[in-house]
Amino acid sequence: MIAGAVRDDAVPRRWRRALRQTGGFLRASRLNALGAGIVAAVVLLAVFGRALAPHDPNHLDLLAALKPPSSAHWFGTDNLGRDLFSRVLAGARISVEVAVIILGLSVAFGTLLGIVAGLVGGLLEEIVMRVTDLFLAFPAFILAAAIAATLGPSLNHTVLALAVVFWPWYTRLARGQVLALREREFVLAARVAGAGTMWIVLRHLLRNVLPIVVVQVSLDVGYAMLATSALSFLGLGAQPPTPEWGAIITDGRSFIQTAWWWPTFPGIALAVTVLGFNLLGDGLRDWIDPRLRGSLGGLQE
Amino acid sequence: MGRLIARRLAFMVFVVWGVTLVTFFLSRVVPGDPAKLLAGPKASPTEVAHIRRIYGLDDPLWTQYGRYMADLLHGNLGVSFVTRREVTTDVRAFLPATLELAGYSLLLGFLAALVVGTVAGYRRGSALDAGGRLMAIAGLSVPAFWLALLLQLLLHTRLGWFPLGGRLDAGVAAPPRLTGILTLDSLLTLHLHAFVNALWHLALPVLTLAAGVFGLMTRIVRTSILEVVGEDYVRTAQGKGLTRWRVLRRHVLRNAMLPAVTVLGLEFGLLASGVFVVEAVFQWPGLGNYAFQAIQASDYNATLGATLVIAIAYVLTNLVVDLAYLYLDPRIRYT
Repeated sequence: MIAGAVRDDAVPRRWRRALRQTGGFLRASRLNALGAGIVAAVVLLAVFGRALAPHDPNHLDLLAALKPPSSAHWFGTDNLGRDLFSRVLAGARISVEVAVIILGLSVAFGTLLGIVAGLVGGLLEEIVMRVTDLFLAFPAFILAAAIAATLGPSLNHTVLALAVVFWPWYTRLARGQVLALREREFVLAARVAGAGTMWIVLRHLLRNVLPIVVVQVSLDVGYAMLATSALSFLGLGAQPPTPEWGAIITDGRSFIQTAWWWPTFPGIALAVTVLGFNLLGDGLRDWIDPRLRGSLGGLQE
Repeated sequence: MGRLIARRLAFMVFVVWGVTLVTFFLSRVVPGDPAKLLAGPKASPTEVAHIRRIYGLDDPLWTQYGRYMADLLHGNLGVSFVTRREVTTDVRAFLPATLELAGYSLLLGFLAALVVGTVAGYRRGSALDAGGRLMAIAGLSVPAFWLALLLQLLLHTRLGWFPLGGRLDAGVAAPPRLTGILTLDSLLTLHLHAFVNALWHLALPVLTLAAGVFGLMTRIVRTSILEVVGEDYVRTAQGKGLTRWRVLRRHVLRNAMLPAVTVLGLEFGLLASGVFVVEAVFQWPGLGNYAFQAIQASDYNATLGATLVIAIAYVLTNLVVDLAYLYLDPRIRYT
């Protein structure tokens, strides 16, 4: 009875605290608010963009080909008369989806591997860490380009290639955290109490590793989006008629002299989106680092 | 210190070997068939089979890999199927253009970051600081290929100030080749017209690549300035009446440079990816363009050679960074 009452009270308190912390984060710097605003807008557009789009992103209308921006076509049209505003909106969903899948795969695989390696130690840890060293010792984009080229040009292969280059970062991050945590009292206590490795990972380690992983993810989202578009630009990623931003820019490249709007608007969309995620990630990292948080607090006053 | 260097060198060898292993087997699963490519579109199946036999492409993969490694140890990277030249010759031809591009970008980005990062660090919390941080993050957020197109559109097509691409105008005679780095060669041989023309061609690609370098470096410089400015020795230097400039140069910048040196390795990764797309947009005859065309044409030897050169350069950069760090920070040297 009493426990129930405490729990009822605890949930809203936790929510209130989360809300207060979010408010503090947003007020700490105008750039934090800007980043969070851009990210929120992009996520909303990714979810509802198709409903808001005035035209079907793949609808051809040759009579309206290469029209400059107007009230009918806000971002103009391409050489096949497709409405670029609708295509850019559709591209928002692709970019967000792609980033979610790339980071989802690499975080799930990399973090778990890092936690297990850190916890088990010994030969397994040694092998895992040398393999991550090998991956990290190689420029990620070149490796991703080589893998994407090997698998053949397609958006799915690009996603897979980027997941392959992203996971080692998370393995190293998670292992480092686990090394610091595994001798701490609560883990030792759990061990003494007879908890299994899986229980310790899920119950004690994961929740301590996750905040740092979240910050890293927010910093990596922008990079994942940029790399996807760059690979599409090189012809290794999304194929026509997919309205991926990098692919739209590539298509518009040869028309840049006559139709400046074609590569310009998807580029602005991509740059602003990546800027939003980078601002958010950068702000989060500063916010979590207590030394820098002090300086931000001073900034407020 | 000697042991540290030995360990780094051993790791370097391991990494380069790992890279050959990964790229070799990756490149062999590419769907293209280099024998068909070499034989030409009208070749009969027997001719294709003949070429496959000459180049040893029908041997088991491990045999091919063993042969490749044996050649590699003799400094032989094989023959490119597309250019029909030794890959080492190709690399020698294309690498200087990339080095020139990357070098100037690194220099420009670094100098700009030094100024903006220092101002932002000194004026913490001011509008200048926020502006510097926004500029830095914007530099990292703008897609290089798009920025390249935009610069071409504005500064070439609209204003006509800079050329569209390439390293020299068609009418300008290239200076005699000493290093392959055009600005250096033309200066050394006093071909001033070629020097100006080469710089003029470098402007747009360098500006594009420098944006990323600037973005990464500004944040590092700002953070380390913030840390150093609060140190006792800086207060002491100020207290003994040194001028502001002297404190900045002798005490603040010198110590704040350490972290900036360590991110050179990261910068390299950034530049390596930027070079790929920027060289493609500006038709820059560099290694990035070469590697990209090799990947698309399933030109095994060229792909492997180019990636290997990039990997070795990357590992070497990191080694130099480590050594520079040892040199700059005596505390590490003596422990």
